[in-house]
Amino acid sequence: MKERNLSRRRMLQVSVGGVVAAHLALPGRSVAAPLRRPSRQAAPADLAYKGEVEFWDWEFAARQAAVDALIQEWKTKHPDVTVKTTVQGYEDAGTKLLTAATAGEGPPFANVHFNWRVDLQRAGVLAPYPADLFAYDELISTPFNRDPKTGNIYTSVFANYTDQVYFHLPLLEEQGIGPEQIPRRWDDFMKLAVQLTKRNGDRIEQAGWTLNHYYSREWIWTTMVYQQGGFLWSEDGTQALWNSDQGVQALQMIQDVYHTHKVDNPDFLGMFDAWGNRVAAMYISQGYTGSGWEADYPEITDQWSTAVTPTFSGGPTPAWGLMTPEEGVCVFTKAAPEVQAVAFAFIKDLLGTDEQRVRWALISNGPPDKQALVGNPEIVQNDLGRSIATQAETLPYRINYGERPLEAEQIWRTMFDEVILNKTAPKAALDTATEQMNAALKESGKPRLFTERAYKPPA
Amino acid sequence: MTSRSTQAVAGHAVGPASALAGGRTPLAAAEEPALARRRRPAPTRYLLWLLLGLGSVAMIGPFYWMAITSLKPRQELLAFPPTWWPEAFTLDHWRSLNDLTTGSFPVFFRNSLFVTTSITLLTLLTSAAAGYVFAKMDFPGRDRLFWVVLSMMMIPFTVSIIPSYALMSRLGWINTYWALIVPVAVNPFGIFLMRQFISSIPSDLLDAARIDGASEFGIFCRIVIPLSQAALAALAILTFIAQWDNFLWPLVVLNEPDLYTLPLGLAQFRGRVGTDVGATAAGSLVSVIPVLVVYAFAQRKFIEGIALSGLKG
Repeated sequence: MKERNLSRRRMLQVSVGGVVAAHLALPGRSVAAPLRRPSRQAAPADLAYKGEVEFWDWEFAARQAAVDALIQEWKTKHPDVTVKTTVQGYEDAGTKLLTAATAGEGPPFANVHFNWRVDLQRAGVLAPYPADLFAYDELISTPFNRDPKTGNIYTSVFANYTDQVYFHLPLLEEQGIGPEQIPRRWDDFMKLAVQLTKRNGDRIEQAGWTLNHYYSREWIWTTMVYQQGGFLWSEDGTQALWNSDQGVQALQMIQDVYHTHKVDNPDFLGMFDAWGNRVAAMYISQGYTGSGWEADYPEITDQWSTAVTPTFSGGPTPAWGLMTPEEGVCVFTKAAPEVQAVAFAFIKDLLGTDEQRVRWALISNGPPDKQALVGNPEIVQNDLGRSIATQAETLPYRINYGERPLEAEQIWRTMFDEVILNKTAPKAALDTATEQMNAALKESGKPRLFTERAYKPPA
Repeated sequence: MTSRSTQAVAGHAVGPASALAGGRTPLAAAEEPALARRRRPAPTRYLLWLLLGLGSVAMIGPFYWMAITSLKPRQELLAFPPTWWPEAFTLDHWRSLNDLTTGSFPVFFRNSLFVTTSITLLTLLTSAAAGYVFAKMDFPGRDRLFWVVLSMMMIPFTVSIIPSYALMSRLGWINTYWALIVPVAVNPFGIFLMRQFISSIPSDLLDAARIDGASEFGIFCRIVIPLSQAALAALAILTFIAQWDNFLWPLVVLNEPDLYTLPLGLAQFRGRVGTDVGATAAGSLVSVIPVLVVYAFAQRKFIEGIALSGLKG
């Protein structure tokens, strides 16, 4: 699917995002509403607040069902407190939440995507988690979630996601290929993708590897940079390093997908439509994408599986690529302390128990945040397409870059369009993109919360 | 010119007395080829018809595509090459309008109708009143104040969305119809349009009414409003269309699905990894009907109104 132009709705959302970013960029507070100082209260046993507390989330039917079930249980334990959810589509939820939070209003707590969280954290509208709410040292996300300056943690995740190869079992069987034969090296993987591609002249009838999805391109490019030992940002977080040798090689590979190996075509279907309609043999994307197939394309249930993302060396080091926590529950400082206490108490029930973490891993299709639960039998027995196991295998070698600047997305979109649609040389495209990002970094002057250097490969 | 007028110019009488057998005079028979040529359209007219036809296809095509998309089975929706007539028909997408996870399509439709109609009526009232004041009343600072109103048209909505949200929250209007209706009930463009039109109403008419003892309010209601129907119809159409499609502001201020408007309802068809194209097409068709109905009733006055803003100034 072509992604040459932003839709009008997306333009409005980017405009709002830009305005919000501008508001949040000002040092200290930029909104008129007085802020409550973040409190570091302990998780309470009794709740002083009585009434309704709103929780905002974005649409994912399975998660909403689980949250609604928890709310019913919660009501029996706390009959005077009602948790009420408000749900929108992902992008719409972001627009809504950022607008409300920037205006000093909004819900007491919400599911906050990592794309939005850092600006909110920097603006001081998020309340730090109580020190004793969880055993943070047991959590995979802790090194990446800790604010490097204050040591506070402002979010807790439902699951951790890495990219992986999704493949259609029947389409591989047609070529006599079994799941265990998915290559672990990029050059072999590309040969497989070519083998699985069906063309009719210039027209693609089956993409061997579909990459027609902006976010998947962005994640794959980032993963490839990390796999080669590169980084996206300088150590002091003031410069983008995108046009490094690693960045150029990664972008060249993406261009080759379309113009050298021709395993996909920018005019072909979008990644999810192609995959869902079984005209794409493989795609590579984050784990959460797998959790939507049963609902949106039930006819492919049990017809797909997963494999680890290939690397250049065939092995896990220097890194296996990107890890993104996607969802995370945050509490807002605009809520009164007693309401914050309700929010944290609900979060403790939502994410704090092993039973809940296992449940979220299965719902979200990603490894749980608690390392010790990765091999839990319930996960192993119910792991659709071995998706969680595949991700878990690579998780220790994954890098979470922390902040993803809002400005980066538009620059990256243009960069991918240049190399894929206009066949611009990757080095030239990256030089331009890097220059633009560095200008944006300098202009904003914000201290960035990049965490990629916190990565330490296992011994 | 008609054949009769042509003949009158030629000095020949035309009528039953001059009719021959067959009902034609010699002159009429002689002039018939020329008349036939005049009745046959000129080549340029064929070209015009062709262009208009292509334009019509371009305009109607998307609606046709939307209609057949709503009736195609899911597998056929993404078929390539696309099918211009469904190979199989299904009403599943229409049924799914009643099977939403959040809210209900009839409720969204009702909410949109109520909100949009309210905004349209309030906009007409405020724009007509303010337009009358700016056009026909003289007071210190009038022109400067009018320029301030005009300058508000230059401010993009996204710039004011955050302070507007904060204001609605402090008024306790979040998640109510008040937040949807009141902030947009006064429209700078509407004031501009009405002011321009009302300027063209002769002031003598209003003076005569004043001499007859009419109050300003009476003049406004009994003279200005009736004479401004064209402009009011145009403004009504433009306001209705803009508010019917409004997505961003209702998204931001509404939390309760029972208050959602149609655009918010349609957004639910975007799933986690794909969009339900068929249901979106069905829902979009439903949402377009009121706009088409309103436009069909007021289209003549609408075209007059579009011309207005270019003529006056």
